[in-house]
Amino acid sequence: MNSQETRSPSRDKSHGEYHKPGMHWLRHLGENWAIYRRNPMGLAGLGLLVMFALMALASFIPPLIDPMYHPMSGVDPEIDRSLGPSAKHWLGTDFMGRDIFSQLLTGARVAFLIGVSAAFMAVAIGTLVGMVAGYFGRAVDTLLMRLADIVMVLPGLLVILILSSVFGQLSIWNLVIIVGLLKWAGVSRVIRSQTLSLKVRPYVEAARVAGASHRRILLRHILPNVLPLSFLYMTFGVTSAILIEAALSFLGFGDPSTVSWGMMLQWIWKTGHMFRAPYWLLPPGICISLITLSFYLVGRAMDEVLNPRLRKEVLEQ
Amino acid sequence: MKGPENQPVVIFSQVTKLYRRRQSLLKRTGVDVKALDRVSFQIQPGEIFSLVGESGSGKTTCGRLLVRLEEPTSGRVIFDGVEVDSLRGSRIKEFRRRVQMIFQDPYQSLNPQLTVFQTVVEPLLVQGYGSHREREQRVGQMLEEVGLRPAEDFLFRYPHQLSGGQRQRVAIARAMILEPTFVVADEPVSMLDASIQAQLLNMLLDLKERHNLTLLFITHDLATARYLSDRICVIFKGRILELGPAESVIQSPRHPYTQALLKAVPTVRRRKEGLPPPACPVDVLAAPEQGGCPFYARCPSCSGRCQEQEAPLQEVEQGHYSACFLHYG
Amino acid sequence: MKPLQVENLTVHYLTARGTVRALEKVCLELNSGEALGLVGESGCGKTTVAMALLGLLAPNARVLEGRIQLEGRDLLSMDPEEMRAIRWKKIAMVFQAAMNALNPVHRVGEQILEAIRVHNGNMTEEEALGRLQELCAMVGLDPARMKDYPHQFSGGMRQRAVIAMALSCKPSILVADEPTTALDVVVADQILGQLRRLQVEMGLSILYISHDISVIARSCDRMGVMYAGQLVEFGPTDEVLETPLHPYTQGLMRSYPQIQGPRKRLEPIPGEPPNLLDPPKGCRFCPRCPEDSGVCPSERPQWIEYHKDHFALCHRIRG
Repeated sequence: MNSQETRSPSRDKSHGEYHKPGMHWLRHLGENWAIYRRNPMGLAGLGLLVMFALMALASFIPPLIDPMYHPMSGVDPEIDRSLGPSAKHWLGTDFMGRDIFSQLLTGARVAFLIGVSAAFMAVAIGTLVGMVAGYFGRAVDTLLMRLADIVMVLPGLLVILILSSVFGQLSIWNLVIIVGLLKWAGVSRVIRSQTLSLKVRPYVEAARVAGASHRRILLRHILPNVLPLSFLYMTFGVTSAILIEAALSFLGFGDPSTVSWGMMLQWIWKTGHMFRAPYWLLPPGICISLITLSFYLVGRAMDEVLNPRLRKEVLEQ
Repeated sequence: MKGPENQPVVIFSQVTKLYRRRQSLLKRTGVDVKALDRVSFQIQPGEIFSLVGESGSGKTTCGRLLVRLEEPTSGRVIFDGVEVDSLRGSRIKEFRRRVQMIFQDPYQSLNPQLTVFQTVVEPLLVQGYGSHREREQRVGQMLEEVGLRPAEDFLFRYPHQLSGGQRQRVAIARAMILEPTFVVADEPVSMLDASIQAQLLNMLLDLKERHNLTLLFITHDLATARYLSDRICVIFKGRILELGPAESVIQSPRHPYTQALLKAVPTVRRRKEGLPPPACPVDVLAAPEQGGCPFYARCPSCSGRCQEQEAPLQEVEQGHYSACFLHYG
Repeated sequence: MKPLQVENLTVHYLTARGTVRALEKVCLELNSGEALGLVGESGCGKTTVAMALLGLLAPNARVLEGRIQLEGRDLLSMDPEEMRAIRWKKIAMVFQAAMNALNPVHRVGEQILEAIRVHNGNMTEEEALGRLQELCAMVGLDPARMKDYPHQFSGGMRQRAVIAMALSCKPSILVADEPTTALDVVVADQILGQLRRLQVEMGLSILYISHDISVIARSCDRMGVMYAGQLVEFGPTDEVLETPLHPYTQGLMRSYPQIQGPRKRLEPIPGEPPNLLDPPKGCRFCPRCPEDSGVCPSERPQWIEYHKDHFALCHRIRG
């Protein structure tokens, strides 16, 4: 019987030996990239992300050039107040004479760290809970979903504010954990529905008939088909984590030992420079907006990759 | 576990399956759907037994009960002398090795994220068979046996790169790789084109011979059932209406339902002339439960008695049973 | 003038993976009040033919050649406005699995009425309701059930409803694409009977499209067999089924298990249909054909009349 497909796996091994599917992962990646590439929004989002990533990486450089560029502790000996952009300080200085540009770069690093960690935690918990609830059903399902309901209606910001006033200043990592614990519920609902629909697919039943254990079915059949959705929610989760951190920092409940964009906004406000120093106000504000936008755009483009039905056919002319 | 030669390998004994519809968490009201109603039949070792019925007749449910995807509400499903529902622990694993299933929809029965190799090797992994090398060999052999040659061409493809017929071959390879003794085939060819159907039907026959299988073949198509099977069992609305040797059921159908089915089976040669009687749609949706024969609403030869009582399966010829009052004196 | 005539229809689809040569020089004609059948397996192009007839080809389709004459007018050269005027009024279609396309949140009667109203703008409410009654009688539905929702209808009844919608504007031609798939044998038989009734009593011309030869055998006066985008055989149904000329048709006939007659081993056609991105040169069936007469792999066969009105696309057969 002839294989009629235009793409056939390479057969460069000697007869009788079958080669591993490892290479095919890469080919998969290649195909997916081709689809992603066609989406202008996705490319824009990716471009922005790359820019912010470079900023984050570059954040280590300024203090090495001169200690006065250190975002927290570096103070320009000649400047003791907020001044506009100059050759020495590309975005000017804050009220203490610290370099704004290096603060901006550090803020990018912090945003990535917090955003990605918190989102990852939320999605990991949500996926686990959703899968278990959907797959086992009945009592387990009811219990977990009621728990999710409770968590979902908790007013997140309020809870964090209460916690920080009870426990004193919260560190960045405390914040990450709390955000993760508050945000898993929405994800779990979606993952649960997806699991419910996957559970009754014939290939899952075929695995049961072959004798697969629950664990195997969950890990091998349900999880891989649910992961694309999780991944999508992660990109959305990053945006909300970053925004929460910014809001908290702005309100004064952030971690004072870390420089983040929200912190910068707080300093501007607290020191009365809101309307006096646009070179100081605008950069962090714009960065917050752009980074959330970029994650969102990437998420939307990913949707097309993961959901073949959304793709548009490319025509040869 | 082995009994005398003529011990039936599968016994369905008064099996009833209800799907309960709950109105609320607490109350158990609402209409129950009766998928199977006191169904009883036996399958002999080495035979191909067809269960023929329309959609909603309960035939797929029988298959699912046999492979333990669901439990009967009452009655017993017995495989090789042991009640399927009572198996525990390692006995289940052994059972799974011996009883396998081929599903109907080639587009849904393979995990789209797994390659052909990963799909077919899974039962081996689950049962802890051999080394990696041995598993590879076995998968390759199996693929060639179901007609996917050369195996290397297909091992690392994904389902979306295969045609419907090829996918179904993969599904069959997966079912056969553990060398089961009993296979439930749930409409394995009905979603495929005619020429591919024929290829796969022949392949099933060959596999059955070569591996000494017993097959439960579930279908809506009497012609296919006749081609493959030794015995045919006709099921309608969860009840067995006729059961007997394939040729006997086809050439001399006793139950009015079987007769109606046979008349409606399209053929490729005979052309029907003449017009049907003026339109009077007789397809009625599942009527609420009432006593009596399930075919009552559509039967041309029914009597008042048929509405009240249900005729039991009666032997009308050697090995040929029918459930109809017409056969009573 | 014949109601429908298709000449040398050639359609290609442009896709990311290349050009799919979906149809090649397909010729058909439908006589008035006749039932014509097109049989072929998945990918043979029969649905593309149906779409072309209704002017519903996908945006990436290109008609390279051919004409479709509907009562003398060429459908392919019409603009969308003209096509919209013709569609449903002169020629209508029952799509594949149409019974699943009924809107579940609207009552069935309402949906049929909508089909009536959309194409007959100046009908009064009474006239529309009257037409609804007519349609119910034509397709065999109980008018009292018109207030039900689709999920309360059985599969067969839904199919009848869809046929009613197609007939709402009294077209002279009906295209039925897989009218009985997913229906039970008994119900399918009834639907086909109903359609035949419409054909005979109303003079409706019907084009049946199916992968199932038995549907065509039961309902059609003449039939065509399609393979890999080409029409490979054409003629009166009885003749084609009794003495199939083309090896593909012969192979297809041998693939169906029979209820009557002795139980013989089926001899299916080996292999799979070709990939239309790169179909075989010469005869497209040659790779799977049991015979070979030298020129088959390289030369495209001619369309030859072997008996009266019975044509085949093959090198092998002598007239």
